[in-house]
Amino acid sequence: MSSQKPYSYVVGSLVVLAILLPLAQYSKATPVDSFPLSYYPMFTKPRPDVSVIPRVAGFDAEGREIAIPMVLLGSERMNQARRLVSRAVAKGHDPSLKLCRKIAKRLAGSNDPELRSVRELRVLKSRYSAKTYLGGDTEPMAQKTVLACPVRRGGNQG
Amino acid sequence: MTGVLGRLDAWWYEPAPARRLALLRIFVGGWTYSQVAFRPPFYLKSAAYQDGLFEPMGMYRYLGGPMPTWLLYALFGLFVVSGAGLVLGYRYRVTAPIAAVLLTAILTYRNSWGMIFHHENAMLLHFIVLALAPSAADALSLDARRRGASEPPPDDGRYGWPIKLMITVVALTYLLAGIAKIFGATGSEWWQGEVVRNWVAHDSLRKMVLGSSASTVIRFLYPHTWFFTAVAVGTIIVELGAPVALINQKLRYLVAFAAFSMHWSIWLIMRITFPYHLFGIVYLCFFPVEKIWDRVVAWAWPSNGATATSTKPAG
Repeated sequence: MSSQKPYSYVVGSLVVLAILLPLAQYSKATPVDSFPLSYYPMFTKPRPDVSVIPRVAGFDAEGREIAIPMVLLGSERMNQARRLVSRAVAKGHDPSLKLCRKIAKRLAGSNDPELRSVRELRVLKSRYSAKTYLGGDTEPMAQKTVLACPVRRGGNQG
Repeated sequence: MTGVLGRLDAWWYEPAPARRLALLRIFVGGWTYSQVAFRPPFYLKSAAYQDGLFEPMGMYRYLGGPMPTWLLYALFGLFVVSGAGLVLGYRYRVTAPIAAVLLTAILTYRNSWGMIFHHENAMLLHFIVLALAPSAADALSLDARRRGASEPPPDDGRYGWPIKLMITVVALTYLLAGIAKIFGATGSEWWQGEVVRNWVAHDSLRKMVLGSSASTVIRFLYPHTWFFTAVAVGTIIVELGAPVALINQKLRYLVAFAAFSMHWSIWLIMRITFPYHLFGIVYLCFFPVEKIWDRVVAWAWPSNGATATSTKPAG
C-alpha cells in the first residue's frame, strides 16, 4: 500500500462528508444557506408574477428620476447591491436612512456628469408585474417612497 | 481487497500521470489565484463599503462582527504570496495549505455581505483539494526543479486520487443543486416550467429595473411555457445525472458537455455569469489535460515537439 493511500481516504471522506453536510438543512423548518458549504437553493422558491422591488433612485430639482449606478449603492454586483438595499429597507427606517446618506455621500464625491443634477435620493418600494413589464409597459404598478435624503455637494451629508 | 471495496479502491487510487495533476494545479490554481489576487477591489473595497449589513457565513458565524480592515488586507497580502507558491509549486507542502486556508477566509468573508456567490463554491473546493494533495507539485514546479528532476515521475495513484476527488466535488455540487430543486419549496412543480419561467422573468425584471445587464431574450420567450418546461427538465437531468461522471471517461465527457452547455444557456437567457464554469475550468479535471496540453504545444510550436509522458487517461 502506498504511504499516501490512507491519507487520501481520510481527506476524500472528509471532503465528501463536508459537501453533503448541508443536506441536514432539509430537516430544519427554516433552512439556512452558507458558504463554502451550500445546499444550493438558488431558483427553488416560487416567484409570483407581481413583486415589490426596493431600490434607490436619484431625482433632480424638477423631480425627474435619474438612475444611480450600482457601484454607488455599495457593490459592483447587481445581486449584492440589490440585497444591500432590500435588507436595509427590511430592517427599518434607521438602516435605510444610513444607507441613503452613505450613497448620497458617495454620489456627492462622484465626477459622473450624468449625476451632477441629482439633488435628492429616494429609497423606493416599486411594485411591478413581470408579465406587464416584459410586455413593454415599464412603469411600476405602484410606488411608495420609504424615505428621502438630500445630496449635498461640498458639504456635510448629515 | 476484493469485491466492491476492491473496485472502489482501484478506482480511487488509479495511477495517473504526475503532469496531469501538475497541470490542474497550474490551470485551476492559476485561474483561482488570478481571479482573486488580480482583482483586489472585489475582495477588499466592497467589504469596506457595507458595514452594518454583515451577515456572517461559515467560520465568521463564530465571530462577533466584521474583521478590521487591516486584517482583511493582511490576509489578502498573505494569500497573494502563498497562492503564488501553490501555482508555481514552490515549497508546496507549506505554501499550498496556507493559501487554501487564506482563500477560504477571504472568499467566505466576501460572501458574508448579503449575497452568496454560488459560482465560487466549486472553485474554492477545487483549490482546497489541490492544496491537500501533497504530490501536486511533483512535476512542472519549482520544487521539482529544485530537486533536479529531469523527467516527471511515473504514473501513480498519488496523482490520481486528487483528480478523482475534484471530479467528485463537481458531481456532488450538481447533485445537491438538483436535490434542492426536487425537495425545495416548489417540489415537483419545478419540473413544470412555470416556476422556472417566473424566476427568469423575475430575475430579468430586477436587472432591468436596477440597471444591470439583462438578456432581452426573455421578452420573446416569456409566453412559451413549453420552453421553460424543457429547460427545467434538462436542468434536473444534468444536475441529478452529474454523478455518472464518476463511472467512466466517456460519461465524464458527456457530463462536462451537458453541464457546460447548461451554464452557457443560463448565461444567454439570464446573464448569470459563472466564470469558473463558463470558461470550462471546473471541468478540466474531467479530461486528460496533459495530452491536450501536448497537442496545443505541438500545434503552437511544431519545431519543439511536445513530450507526452503518459497516454492513458484515468478511467
